[in-house]
Amino acid sequence: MDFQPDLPIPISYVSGRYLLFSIDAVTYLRREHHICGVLIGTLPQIPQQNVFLGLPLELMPEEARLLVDKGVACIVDEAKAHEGMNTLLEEDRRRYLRDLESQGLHVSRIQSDRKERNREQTLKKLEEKKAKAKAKASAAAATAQASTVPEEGSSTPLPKNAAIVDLFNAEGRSSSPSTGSMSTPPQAATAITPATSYPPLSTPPPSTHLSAPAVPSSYPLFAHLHSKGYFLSPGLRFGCQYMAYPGDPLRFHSHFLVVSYDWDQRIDIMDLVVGGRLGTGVKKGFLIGGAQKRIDEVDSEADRVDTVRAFSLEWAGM
Amino acid sequence: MVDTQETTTRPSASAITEHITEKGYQSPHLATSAQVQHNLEHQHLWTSIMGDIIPGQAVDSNTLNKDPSQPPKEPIPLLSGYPPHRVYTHPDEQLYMLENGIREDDLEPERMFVIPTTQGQPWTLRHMAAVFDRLPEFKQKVEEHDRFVDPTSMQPEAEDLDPQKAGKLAQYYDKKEKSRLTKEWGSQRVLLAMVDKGMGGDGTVAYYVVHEGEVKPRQN
Repeated sequence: MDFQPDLPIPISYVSGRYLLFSIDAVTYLRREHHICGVLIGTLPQIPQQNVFLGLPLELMPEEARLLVDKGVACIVDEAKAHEGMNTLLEEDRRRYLRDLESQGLHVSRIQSDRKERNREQTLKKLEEKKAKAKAKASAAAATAQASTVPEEGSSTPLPKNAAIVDLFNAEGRSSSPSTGSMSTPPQAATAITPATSYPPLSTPPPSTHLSAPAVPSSYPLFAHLHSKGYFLSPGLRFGCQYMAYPGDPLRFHSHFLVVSYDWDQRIDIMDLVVGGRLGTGVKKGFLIGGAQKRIDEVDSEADRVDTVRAFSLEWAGM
Repeated sequence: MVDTQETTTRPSASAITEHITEKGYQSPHLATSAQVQHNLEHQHLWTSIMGDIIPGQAVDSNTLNKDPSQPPKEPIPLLSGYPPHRVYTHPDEQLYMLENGIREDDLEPERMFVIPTTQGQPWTLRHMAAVFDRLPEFKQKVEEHDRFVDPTSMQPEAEDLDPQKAGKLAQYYDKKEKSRLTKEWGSQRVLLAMVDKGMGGDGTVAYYVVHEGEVKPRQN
């Protein structure tokens, strides 16, 4: 469960996007570093099915930068890293394919095991039900001899129900009698599509890592809020720059709509009303803030993060 | 016909315009301040309203752009007064009050600070920070003034309070004092009052609570 990936985690840089393809890395970053990103993977044949998206996970440049600055991740040019694919040795290729096949076998074995277990459970349940029904019927017969005919009628629906349950189960695994009962013969390996290409390819050496991502001027505020334990996500849906959640977004409603300003950037008073009103309308605060120093006044972005000041606004209700 | 025209007179100015011209404010900031003060006093029934000014920085100062902790070049007016009801209660404070059966009416009134602003006025994070940096100083000033004016006002009326409630209240004030340091019940806050003075300005003043730092919203 607590998987620890090898650090730094390579973030794939593909045509201007920062992507993660390893589910282990995604869960690790979310759990340990409060980085959620946005899942953008959909089915190529059915792109309109976008309620539940999957891998890859797209990171905001701010998120990628934060991870790189922390030393948790590095940026890898995906296209360059895959140049080695053409020169893959025949030996390596075959080993990789064998590896995939054994993984597939492992998966199908797990699946058939699960099926077998389900089957046994339902069979056991059935048996219990039958036994219970029999016991009930015999008990009823013993106590009330006069009313045997209605008892007969009431006891028949039970096996009927059980038969229906059995039918549904059988339908769910029509092939189970052949695969489930005889697990000794070799099964067809489940086809595996690996999400990452790091087993055949070696992890890219540090010299090939790209430099830290360029970030918008709102980065200091982003890093400041992240350091205070907030989970941040893109705010377009709510009309702001970031959404700040006090914990994992799956468990908490967000607290703030965040907009960053430069220290001497002019703020339209009307924007404060707009943000405050919008925030209060969705039971959130409107948070503005920014770093006191400009990037040309300090050595690195990290120095600016310490100078961030933030202010939260709420409608006063008067 | 001519006679009737001569008898028509200009409508008299509104109360607020009279109020502003009467006082003869030179700076537009102060005129805004006067309008907000008028609104607080007559629409929201605030009492003992006091005004002050956070001085600006000299225009030709070269240090302004270098030092982020300097106030902006414009002076910022600041108002303070006692609202008839509490304007803001932090959610955790509210929970504490509920758990201990303390009602808002039991508590002594609190002075609230207001920054009057108007649409189109230059406003930056520097302005905001300047207000919060100077706030403790102004708070102390008005508290001294309040004690001077009415020394008994700061003490809760102890006569008609049963001892149990008095104990609860004392506990509450202790906790409040502590939370000022831990920021458990929110940090410093002011009201941002916004007046629309442009075309179509209808005298509405919008009030927003501004907290220093990240303070969780009241309803979430």
